[in-house]
Amino acid sequence: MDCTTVRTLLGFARAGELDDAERGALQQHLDACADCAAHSLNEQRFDDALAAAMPRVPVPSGLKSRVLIALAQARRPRPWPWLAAASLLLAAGIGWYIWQLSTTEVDVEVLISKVDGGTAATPDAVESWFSEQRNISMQAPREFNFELLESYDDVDFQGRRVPRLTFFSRGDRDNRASLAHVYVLSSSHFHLPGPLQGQHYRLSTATHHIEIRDLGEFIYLIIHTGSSLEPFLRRAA
Amino acid sequence: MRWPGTKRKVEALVQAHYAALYRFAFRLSGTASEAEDLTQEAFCQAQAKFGQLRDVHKARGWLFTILRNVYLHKLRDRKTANAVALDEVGDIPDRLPDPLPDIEPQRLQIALSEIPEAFRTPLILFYFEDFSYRDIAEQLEVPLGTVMSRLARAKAFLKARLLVPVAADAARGEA
Ligand SMILES: [Zn+2]
Repeated sequence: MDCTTVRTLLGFARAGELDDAERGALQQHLDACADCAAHSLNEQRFDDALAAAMPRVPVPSGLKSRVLIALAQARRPRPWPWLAAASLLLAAGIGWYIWQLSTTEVDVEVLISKVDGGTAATPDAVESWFSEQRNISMQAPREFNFELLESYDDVDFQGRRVPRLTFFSRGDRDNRASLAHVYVLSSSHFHLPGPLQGQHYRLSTATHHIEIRDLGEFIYLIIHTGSSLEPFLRRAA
Repeated sequence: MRWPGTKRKVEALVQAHYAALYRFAFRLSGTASEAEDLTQEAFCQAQAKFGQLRDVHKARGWLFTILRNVYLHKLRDRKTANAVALDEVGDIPDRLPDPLPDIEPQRLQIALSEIPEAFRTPLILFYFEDFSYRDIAEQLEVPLGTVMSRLARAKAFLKARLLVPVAADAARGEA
């Protein structure tokens, strides 16, 4: 083995890329050749000096905490996806969401679309309006008298947009007008507390009555004034 | 992504590797503030793509690769005016002073900053983190032979930069 090959092999030796036979041959040459032995020793000493100097870097105190804080901040959900969605809706010309969120220029088309909604006074029309205009699948409460349907749209309910139908009754019995809101919740997004599941449930406050109807696929939350829901319902023919 | 599990694992990675990662970042960038930025950014990216870490035993190399990529990204627009051609190194004495004087960390950093990144990174990894040539080749995605030749040239440059003046001073002192 000549000296040039040995110098090359020394590099491979450092890389741990020599097999036993090659290492043996290399060592044999180093034992016999003073020049290569000195070269190898120099390399080794320089390597050691570099290996000692390289990691000598003081780590600033508190670095670990600052890294952990940066990670925690990165984990926090950012508000912007929601804002981006809102601006998309705005760009699509649907200012209705924004209307409820901040002060916005009144858009006559929004008004007209509401009027349009208000005239579609059959359960089928309301269902298709929510499907087409709001991309919400819902089931209209067919037991209600849709001639009394005052307005409908989606509203925020526990963080979700849900359909709300408002019925208005002049009240023919005690001559007092009353109002009923019907929230239509999809059971793929909401569920009732255990004891209420599958039930018709009624509770009253001083001014309002609340009725919960679990239909399986949908849940109706009905809030109304007046003593009973009767005036809002369809009359048997 | 389900944060609770990831959070715990990433924090364990921080605990185990933040100091080594910072030192690597410092040797790469040369300043404490940049090294800290790089370290934080690397961990944030590691957290964001934690699912890509297949083998926890390779976490260290994975983190170093992320940090280097962050560094390269920041470097891209910056001029590396102070990088010299590695061929332009002076003569290196065959016999080094014995014992070798300690290498001052400051001088080492100045010399490192003169080496192009492609040569600097393997050098830092090799001397400081006990990465094998194969590990380095894998990380930098270059052939083993390339790693070896880059290391040899970077080392020759460092030797000339760090030892020759010292050797000359020593010779002058003896005269
Ligand atoms: Zn020889």
